[in-house]
Amino acid sequence: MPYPLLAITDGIIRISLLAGSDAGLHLADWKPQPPQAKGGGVWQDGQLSDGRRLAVKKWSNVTDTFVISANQVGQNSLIYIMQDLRRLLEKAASYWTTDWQGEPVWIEAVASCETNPRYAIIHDYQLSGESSPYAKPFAGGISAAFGELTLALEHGPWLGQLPGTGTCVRDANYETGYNIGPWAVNSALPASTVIAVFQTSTGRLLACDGTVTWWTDDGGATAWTTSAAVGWPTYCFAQGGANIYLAGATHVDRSTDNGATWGNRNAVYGGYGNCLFYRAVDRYLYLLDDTNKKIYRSIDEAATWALCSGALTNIYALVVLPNGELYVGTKASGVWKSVDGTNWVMLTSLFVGTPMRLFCPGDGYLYMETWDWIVSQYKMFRISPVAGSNWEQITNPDTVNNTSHMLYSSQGVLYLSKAVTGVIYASLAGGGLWKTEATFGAFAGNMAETTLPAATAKNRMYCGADGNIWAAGATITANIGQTATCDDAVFAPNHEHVGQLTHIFKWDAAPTWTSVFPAAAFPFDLFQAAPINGDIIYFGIQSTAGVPLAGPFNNLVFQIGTRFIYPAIGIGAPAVLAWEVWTGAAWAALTVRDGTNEFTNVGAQSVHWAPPTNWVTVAVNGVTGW
Amino acid sequence: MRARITGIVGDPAATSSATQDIHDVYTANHNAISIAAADVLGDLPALLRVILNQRADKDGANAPAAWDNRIVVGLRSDSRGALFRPFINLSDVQLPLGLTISVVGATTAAAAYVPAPTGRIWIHTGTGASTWSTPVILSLYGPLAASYYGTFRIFLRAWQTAGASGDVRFRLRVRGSAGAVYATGEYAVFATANNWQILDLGSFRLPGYSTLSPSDITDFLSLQLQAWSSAARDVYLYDLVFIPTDEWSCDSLDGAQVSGSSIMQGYQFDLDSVTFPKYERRSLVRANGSLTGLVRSMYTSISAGPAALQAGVAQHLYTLASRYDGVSFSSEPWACHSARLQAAYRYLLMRGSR
Repeated sequence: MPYPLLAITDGIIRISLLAGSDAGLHLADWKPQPPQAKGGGVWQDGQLSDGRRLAVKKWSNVTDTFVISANQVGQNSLIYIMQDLRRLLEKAASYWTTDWQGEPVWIEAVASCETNPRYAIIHDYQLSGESSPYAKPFAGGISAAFGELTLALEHGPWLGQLPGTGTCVRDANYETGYNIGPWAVNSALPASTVIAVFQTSTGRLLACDGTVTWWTDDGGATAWTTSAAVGWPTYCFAQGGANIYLAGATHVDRSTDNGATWGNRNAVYGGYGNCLFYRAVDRYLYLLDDTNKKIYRSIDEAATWALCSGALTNIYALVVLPNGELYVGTKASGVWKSVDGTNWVMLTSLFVGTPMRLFCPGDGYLYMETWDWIVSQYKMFRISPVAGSNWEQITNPDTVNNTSHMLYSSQGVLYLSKAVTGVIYASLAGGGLWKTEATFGAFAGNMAETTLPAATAKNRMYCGADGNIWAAGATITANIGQTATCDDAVFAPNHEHVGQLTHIFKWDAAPTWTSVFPAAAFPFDLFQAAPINGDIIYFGIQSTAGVPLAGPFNNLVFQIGTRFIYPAIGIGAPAVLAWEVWTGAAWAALTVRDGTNEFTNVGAQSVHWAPPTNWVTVAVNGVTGW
Repeated sequence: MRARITGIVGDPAATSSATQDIHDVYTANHNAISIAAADVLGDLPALLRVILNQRADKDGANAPAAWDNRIVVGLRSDSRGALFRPFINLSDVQLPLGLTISVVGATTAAAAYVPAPTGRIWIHTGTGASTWSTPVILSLYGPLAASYYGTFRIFLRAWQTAGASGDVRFRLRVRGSAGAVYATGEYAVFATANNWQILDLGSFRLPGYSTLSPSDITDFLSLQLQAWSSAARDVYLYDLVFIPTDEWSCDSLDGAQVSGSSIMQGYQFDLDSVTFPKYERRSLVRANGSLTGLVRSMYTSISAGPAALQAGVAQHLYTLASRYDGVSFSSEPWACHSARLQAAYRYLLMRGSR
């Protein structure tokens, strides 16, 4: 299709208005008109108000007026092209006025350097300006012409696709959801309360309680090793270079061997949870002295400390961002910021309550928990240190108990741990909506995720609580569903269920168990490579503690890559699969709509059923669930 | 839930397993058809064609009989609240944070009911006193409440387990904040004592104030489900369905309601404002899962304009499928469709490279 283009067509007959040097129709002038609001729109107005307000606006058709000329080598030829034009335009009008005319006529247009064409369906027309057939320029020479024709076309809005056709719009049903194995005791330690878990730059995990620290290099798969007893209550870790620091109520310790042994560096200042930060910009340590409620700085690896918070008093919270900015929350004067650790500027944006804790979990926001003395509640706010100018109040999942720690995982989940109650909450909506992730029953402290390539336990979440170290699953699946596609693969069920599959096990008649959720790689066999009678695949949502969103489900969605092949297949072949649920005493057959046709249909296929009232949870391979 | 191989006959060496490819097996649990901002071009809302392929029905008769003949569709821009979900379960589990469900008095109790979406429901026992009571109150707070700002057609899915039509009435009363007046909808009754009934509670503007900006959050948004009963009846309460209607929405109904006019297995619903411009909008049922499959029936579609997608914004289409059996509307939670979309982009003037 040569550009530029301006033509009237029904898809078969095309009459160009840009004949150029050839004989035909020639556009002389056109001022394209945008559509206007019908009747100018409906406005609300009043004598007592300034201005007026548009209340309803609907688009009218557009009438574009083209000034064209027409020429041909002879009168019959000119009459011929004018007849074609009028016949096509009559067809355009009759498309709307008759039932029998089913083909629209439209304008095609694209400018000389415009990339994409556009189309507008013609609703009606007026063509005038044909001159006398007995006078020039129509008569009197070898060629014939009409000097100035006026063609008015009423048309709909310009379309990006040929009329009557559409382009695929990719759709999706892809939840940034997650499934995480249930929290389980990773190490039963003889400790009163594990305050914090911390990952060093080597991937080693450290933990501390009142007087003891532990470490593990394998995610706790074998055992946690006890470091030399520190001797005083310790609360939080920080790493600066190769050194690890540990802050306690009255001391700051240093380890130069990745947490294996500790040496006291200072016996004057101390702090509690989230009190110690290493600022990479100047390589200094910053400590919230919880006794004096002031900020101290050490430039010599915690050997000596100097006050750096100036005249600020009653500092309850400190956080140091990765870019080096420091924020403190004070009891009486709000939040202050420093870009150099020495000079402080008060933030003027408003919030409610007294700042109690500041967190930088890693999702780009600064979070602050305050205590609202009026209503006796903890409230949560966040602000973007880069673009934000105001604190935004978000949901605090527990307004009675204070927050210990916040952490944004590599899988996009924001975690929040609560002291006293020992509950971990998780949010996929920036703190707008929280789910109860785990309930330990007593103090949940600082969390850590194994993000470094440890041999056995990458992307596990760890938390100290209830006298133990807990770990959440070996794997995390952050996203479930169908990504954007033009295939018939996006499923819209007639209900809402917050839970998602947590386990899929294959059981070979051999017998052996294999877990295939989440899959290590694709494609994978849904049964053993050469299936035999008695092979089973289980799909479940775990219902035990740690997965509070469990419930019965009514469909499964597959993406079958290779079909199931067995000897007798086709019409009349025996049923190969039995779909079953546990009813308390036995596995009972379930009537399903099997879109996979016993896994012989490839592509996006699904299985659906009405959950029977006697379906109950069952333990399969050690996991109890639906 | 398991699939067990039982019937292979012949040479085992000739068998090979099916494979799962590309993504993990999952259960489709969210009614949401998501469209990215970059996937809809143009200056005006794009004309839309929605094709919903029946996936859950077996054969229109036997279990799981999930055929339907009424599809309600609504469009909502994501910027209006990421926490919006069209179905709110009337359950004591799986409630999103920001939602509390209070039951008033002793006439409503939580119970297990496995077929329900969460496996748990509220059962309301009508007193038969022929007076209105408020057995269930949904209170939405903070960002969750803000995600429900807008105009919605609201349905109740429930089951009057015994008795006659008219024994029990339900209506919805909405209050946008603690200091607001109530807006009360018309009541609806159960047409039968069949399960999974859909009661149309009417159209509501939430939170009820037109002068609130999208960033104004009230102290709470209260949705009160009110009941009236002329006889002691148990009612299983399943969920409330919110179909957004203020951007674009369409209610397509089977006018014929004859055998064979439904959207059953092997057929698809085709809501089309693209392929036949002479008509603003058509609701068809096509055979064979094909975009050009034989037309099986034509539904009445009720809408304020052509099917449309917003241009250049992230958005979701939400659906409610139900079935009219000549007496009542029912809607099983295990009904399910797969969706494909087509669009014709619309421009005010020139198009350029977009």
